[in-house]
Amino acid sequence: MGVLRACRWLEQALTRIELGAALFAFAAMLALSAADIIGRNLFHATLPGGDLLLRQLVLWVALPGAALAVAAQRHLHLDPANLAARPRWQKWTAIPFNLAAALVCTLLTHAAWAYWLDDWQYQSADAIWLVWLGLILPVAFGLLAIHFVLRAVLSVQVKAT
Amino acid sequence: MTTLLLIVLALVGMPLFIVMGAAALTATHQAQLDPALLMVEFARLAASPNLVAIPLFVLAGATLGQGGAPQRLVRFFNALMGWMPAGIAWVATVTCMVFTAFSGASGVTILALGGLLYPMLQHEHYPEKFALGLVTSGGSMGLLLPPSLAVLLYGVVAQVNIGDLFVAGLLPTLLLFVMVGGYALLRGARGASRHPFQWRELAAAARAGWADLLLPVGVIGGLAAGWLTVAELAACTAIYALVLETLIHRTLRVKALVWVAYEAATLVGSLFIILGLSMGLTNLLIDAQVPMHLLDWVSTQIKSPLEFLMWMNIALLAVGCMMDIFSAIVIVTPLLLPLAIHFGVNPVHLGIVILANLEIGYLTPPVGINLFLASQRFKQPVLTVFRATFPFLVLMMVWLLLLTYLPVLSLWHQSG
Repeated sequence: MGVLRACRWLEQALTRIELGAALFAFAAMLALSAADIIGRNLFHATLPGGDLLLRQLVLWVALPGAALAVAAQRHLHLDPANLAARPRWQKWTAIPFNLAAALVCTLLTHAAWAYWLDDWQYQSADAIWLVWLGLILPVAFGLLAIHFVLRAVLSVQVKAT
Repeated sequence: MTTLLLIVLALVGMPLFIVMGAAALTATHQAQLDPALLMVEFARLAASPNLVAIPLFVLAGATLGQGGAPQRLVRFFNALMGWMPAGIAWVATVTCMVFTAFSGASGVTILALGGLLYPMLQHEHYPEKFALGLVTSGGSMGLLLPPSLAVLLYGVVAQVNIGDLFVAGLLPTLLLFVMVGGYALLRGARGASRHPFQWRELAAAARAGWADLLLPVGVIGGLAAGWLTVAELAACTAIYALVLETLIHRTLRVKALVWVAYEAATLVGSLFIILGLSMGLTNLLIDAQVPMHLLDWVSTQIKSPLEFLMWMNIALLAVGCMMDIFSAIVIVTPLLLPLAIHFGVNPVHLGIVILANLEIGYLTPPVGINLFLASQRFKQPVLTVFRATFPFLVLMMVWLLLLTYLPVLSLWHQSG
């Protein structure tokens, strides 16, 4: 039971961090947009790099949001036969499905890390801050993989009850 | 074999982004490409200025939904139109349309407004079947109105001017409103009671809801006049909604705002991860010349634009039966767009037809999500909900045919 408790704690902690990141990104998007509109219309000037930062923040809302959606089991899926409503189906598929999903996310994390390293190597010095912001890509795919593993482990508890 | 396995996994409920990610990884492996290329495409999410608008409009919709805008809208439209013959039916239709435009995912409309409108219709002696059908189908109407998430997504994927798309969606939405209201007048409102018009109630409802009502006016006006870009408009809408609910109506406190951000981020996340991975997958499909092969095949089978539109409608209705609207837009649009251009179909008209098809898909079994939501919300069997919705489904099919074969309904503003 200690493992299950640790997994639950970890999932809650990750969810809090991801929600914090999304909240911060939303707030920054609103502040930047407002500053941009006011600056352009009143002072005929905009924040340097503001537009680039604003667009990067889209990833900072979306990727933590995707991780939150795994924890809440709210990802878009098809399921035309409505199998999700059948407890026995849920019971037998939760572990293999979540582990398979974790494997795909791990491979995507690897791809995202390779992309980030390339970006780091070839980006010019004045735009290196953009590369740092791009770190969200491998980090978020890694978080998705962890969430799926946690879902697989926590489904054991559902089976037991 | 791998493709078949992935299709089966998708059909048994594996998250769609995992299936797309697996498909993209397999395709890069088979083409002996570096999987990092997928992330090059994914990172392009941060290159589109229009994409900034989506999280901000979602935030605005979540804020308004949580803050009580649906109740204020119902009250206002009831005071304005409730006295008319079939008044509450008109009220239900217009409120659902306006709220769906803001909430993006139309299921939210059934959850947020259904509990309010369904008892209202029953109280006014509308037949139960009609009331159930109207509230369920009303949950997907309004998807063409600004600032609908579906329209924004199509605009981004098809690289079509979003302002043009929103203007193109106005007349079709008005047509659907008149058709549904007309049906209510002829069939649904038999035996329904009518209210006298009351200036005092209208004034009170307008006082409570004027700020909500200014929002769609501002969005449409801002887009039509071209004062602000779509992203700036989205930011203004989100800020306006937050100020409205926290400072003016004071319906949301800090804790509720965290919940609003959670809801918005979850929706944006589940949408954008599919979009990002599909961009990589689409690129691989283009490299493998899949759209070109499809175009060659379709060109030999289909000769006229009318025939193309008919087959496209049939295919899209089938897609709408199986897939939710956002995934369908992301997957289907890159395949259909070259075909449509080949047959001389305007991309704006194409967008309206695609979205109208997918709007109907919300009501078609087996994956008509609104049928399930309504079944849960109103505690009725899915089959009962489907039977109640069927007349509205037929009505929307007629509407779809009109939109498909009368492009002027979508392109009137471009004909001048």
